[in-house]
Amino acid sequence: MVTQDALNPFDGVKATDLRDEQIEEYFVDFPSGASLVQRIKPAAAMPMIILGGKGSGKTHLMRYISSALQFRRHGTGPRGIRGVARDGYLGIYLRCGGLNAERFHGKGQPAEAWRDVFAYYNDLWLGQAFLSAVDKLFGSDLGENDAIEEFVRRAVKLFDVPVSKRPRSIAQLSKCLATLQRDTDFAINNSSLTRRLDVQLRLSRGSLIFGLPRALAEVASDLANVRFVYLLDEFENLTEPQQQYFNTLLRERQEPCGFKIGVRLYGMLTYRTLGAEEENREDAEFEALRLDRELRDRTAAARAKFATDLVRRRLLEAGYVTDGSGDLKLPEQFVTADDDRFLRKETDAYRKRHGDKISPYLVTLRKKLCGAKGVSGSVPPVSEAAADGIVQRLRFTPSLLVERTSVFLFYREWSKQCDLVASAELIGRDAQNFFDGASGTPHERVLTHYRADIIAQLLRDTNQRQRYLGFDTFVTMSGGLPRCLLTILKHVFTWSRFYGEEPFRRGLISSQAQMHGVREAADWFFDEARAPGVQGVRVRRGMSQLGQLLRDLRFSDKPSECSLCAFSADLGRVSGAAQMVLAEAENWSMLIGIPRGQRDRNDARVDAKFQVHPMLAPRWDLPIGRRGALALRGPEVDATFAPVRAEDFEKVVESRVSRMRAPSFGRRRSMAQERQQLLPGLDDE
Amino acid sequence: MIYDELTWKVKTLNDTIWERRFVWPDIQAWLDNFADDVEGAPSERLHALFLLSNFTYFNPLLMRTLLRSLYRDFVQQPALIRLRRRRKGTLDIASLEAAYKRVQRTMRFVGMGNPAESGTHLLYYFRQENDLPTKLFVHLHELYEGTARSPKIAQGVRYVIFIDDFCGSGTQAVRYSKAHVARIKEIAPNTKLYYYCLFATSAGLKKVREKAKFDHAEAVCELDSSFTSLEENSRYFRHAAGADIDRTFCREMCHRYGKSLIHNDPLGFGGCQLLFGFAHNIPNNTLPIFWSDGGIARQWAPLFRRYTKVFKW
Repeated sequence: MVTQDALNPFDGVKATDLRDEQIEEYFVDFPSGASLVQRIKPAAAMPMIILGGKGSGKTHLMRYISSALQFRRHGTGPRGIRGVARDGYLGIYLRCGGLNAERFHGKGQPAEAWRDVFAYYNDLWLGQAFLSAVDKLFGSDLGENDAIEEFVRRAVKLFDVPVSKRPRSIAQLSKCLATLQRDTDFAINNSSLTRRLDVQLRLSRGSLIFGLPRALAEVASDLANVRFVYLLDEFENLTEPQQQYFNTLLRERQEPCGFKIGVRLYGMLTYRTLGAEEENREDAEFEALRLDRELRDRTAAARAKFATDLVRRRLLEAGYVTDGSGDLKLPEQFVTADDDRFLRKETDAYRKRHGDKISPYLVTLRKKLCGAKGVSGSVPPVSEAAADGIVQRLRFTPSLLVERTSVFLFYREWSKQCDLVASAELIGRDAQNFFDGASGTPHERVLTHYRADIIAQLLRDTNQRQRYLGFDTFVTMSGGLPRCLLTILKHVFTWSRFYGEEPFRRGLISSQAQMHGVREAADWFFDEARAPGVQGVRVRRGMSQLGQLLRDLRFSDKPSECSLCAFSADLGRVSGAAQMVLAEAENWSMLIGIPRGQRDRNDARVDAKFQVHPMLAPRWDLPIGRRGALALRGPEVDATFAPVRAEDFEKVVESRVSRMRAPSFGRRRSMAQERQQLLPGLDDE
Repeated sequence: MIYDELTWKVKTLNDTIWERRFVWPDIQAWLDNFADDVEGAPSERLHALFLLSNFTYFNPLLMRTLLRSLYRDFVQQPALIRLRRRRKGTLDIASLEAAYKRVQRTMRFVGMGNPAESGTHLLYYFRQENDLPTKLFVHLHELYEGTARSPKIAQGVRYVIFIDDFCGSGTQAVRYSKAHVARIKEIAPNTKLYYYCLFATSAGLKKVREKAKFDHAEAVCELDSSFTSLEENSRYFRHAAGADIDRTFCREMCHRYGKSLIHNDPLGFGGCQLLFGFAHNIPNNTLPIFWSDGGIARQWAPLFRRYTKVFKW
């Protein structure tokens, strides 16, 4: 009997939830030369800010280079010291979320008091993290006793006020810092009641953060060339003044220290520093690594390899593959979309169910033809018999795809006000030629660009779900966020089990399991990747409206752009409110900014260009690959992302979509045509 | 698309409340009982899936929670309120607890029906969940002492509380009352007899209150007529998913199949038309299309199998 209780190898998608050994086991990298670990340059002096969307792998990467993982790889004691020396760095990992940063604020205290207390507190906090890593590194290595004693002696001298009980070992020194930190915690936590901040600052800013590594490097010759790197994760949890403090540390960095800061795309609130309030600049004071873009910009082959390794590690861990040597070809585990030229697999099933019944899109076309009552500039009204004649000419029972393409071409001709009967006649002949293998036909040309859209329309017309199938599709959908890939697979796996399948063990993962899983993952992404509060609501609304607009255009009678999932706009003509929503949507990865933008068709201006994150594509039946982009005017962007009135957006949709919709194709009736509808329409042939 | 949405809902229910009882092939096997879709006609399978997506299933955890509610709301709290009122609204918890203990010692809990029936089956969990002493639970015959000719109610018993899981049409409770409750009342008219169940239809409960001899009858969850799934004021069709779902068609379908499964009660015992089930069994008031296996009359793959009572031997 099939049960659903098999371990889901894709559960546990957050690096913060993983144990050290899981971080090690699940870690994958690009091949040497393109390695992310090399890209992050752990031993480099220049500080680095690692920017990335939620789930882009910042935490995993930073934990991978942390001391805990270094010790797993090298061990501790003399072996560990040699290993760390070979690495050239020792990573001290801290999560800023653990600081409870919001405590350092208000309570009747001036801002400068909090600034100093925060700086002091961080010296104690980072100092302890450093000592903890060093203590583990030395382990029980008695040979280093003298060096350690000397290190502790020097460390004690870093205090402005002598500590009461002189520590003799790293453990005692660490305990001393913990006591001071506890006293400070006590004073901070009670200051809201006492309205006093009874803290004695025993250290100058940065004296432990920079002083401890320097002292160690001076006394431990094996570590003389090692960089001590503070890995500060979840930087977005700090307030602006607190970030200013760390920015100052970056600017005033002393040897042999280094900094890597992990922060969400929206999380860098300031680059300013304290004191003179200078601003840190990229490539001067720090280097930036934009992780999701970094992953997106790799070649398709490299991305596929990375994703395959990522998934294989999970499967290996859960016992679905026996080793990492490639006994399981991932793309072959999934049912994929019908790649037949005429989409026979998909459409034959439909034909079987519905027989020779006239296709729904031809029924719609007929209705539109009969309803086209003297639209301005359009052909005269069409009689029912003429409409039937047109439908008969466009009908093509051997292939639904060819037939749907004919209808697509016919709408184009109609919008150009061509002779409809003649056009239908010609398109019908072309359909047969194309089906017989002739090249250079209009059907072939239009399918070169619009194949995905025509298939999407065909699926929708025949009341079927859009197909987001196959491992490669999932990799593209993840848009540079590894967590997205894992989340898709998690849901696909669950659905597959529900359908009684044995994913990654026997048989293929069905298309229905994939479609449901993808849709669930898309919903998760939409709920998860959004800013909190009012701005988050605005982003959701804006994205929903954008999705609706793009969907309506994609499924219109005569879409002007193929594979529409992007738009461009001159942001100079967009309101501040809409710009803020756009920026927030990009920061939360709902939109992907396209670096080179879009050149305007009418002048040389380069507009900003954004793509809907492919994870969201299933929500609005959009394509995941970007080809065309919708050029929006400033007021249209405003109406979509920051409408003053609800009807503003409806007007945009109506104005945009009506241009693509039969019978009017955006033309308004003139008085002359109002009269014309009283005249006889196009007669029977 | 609606089929997908309903599948989605069923999976969510299955993953959460239904404790992953099923995989899709089980559900598909059940759906295959219904006719294939025909172009232009309402889909039987879609309607069956719609009913399934509205099926209310109570897993063991939920049943245990309801048993706690039953004791707290119908036994403990009313008694405590009365005791406190008698003591002029005292806030002395210790004295109230002591008084309640004394009252509790005069209570006896009896499972409704035969020892092999579900009412009795629940007593074990009822005792566990409410941390009650075992001596408060008795067999029916233990309520009596004395001789067969001059029976007396057992010494110290003032309250007899009958526990049941489900009251559908109320027929069983009334029958039971006639057989046993009337006798206890005759022997000891001052003994209070209560009937408490986890679920009851409004009609069933009304019948028990009117025709049985209990001093008080109550249900944790009372199911009004909107739970009669296929009738006009059915709660399930109030927001039915679009034009694809039609109540009249659905009723006709359930009746047609139900007739071939349970000839006398095609829409469930007493015509209750319920969409209810418990982890330990499915009431016969639920639509037979869910629980009947068709017997020898026809082949039918049930989804929530009901274990029927065997009365004859």
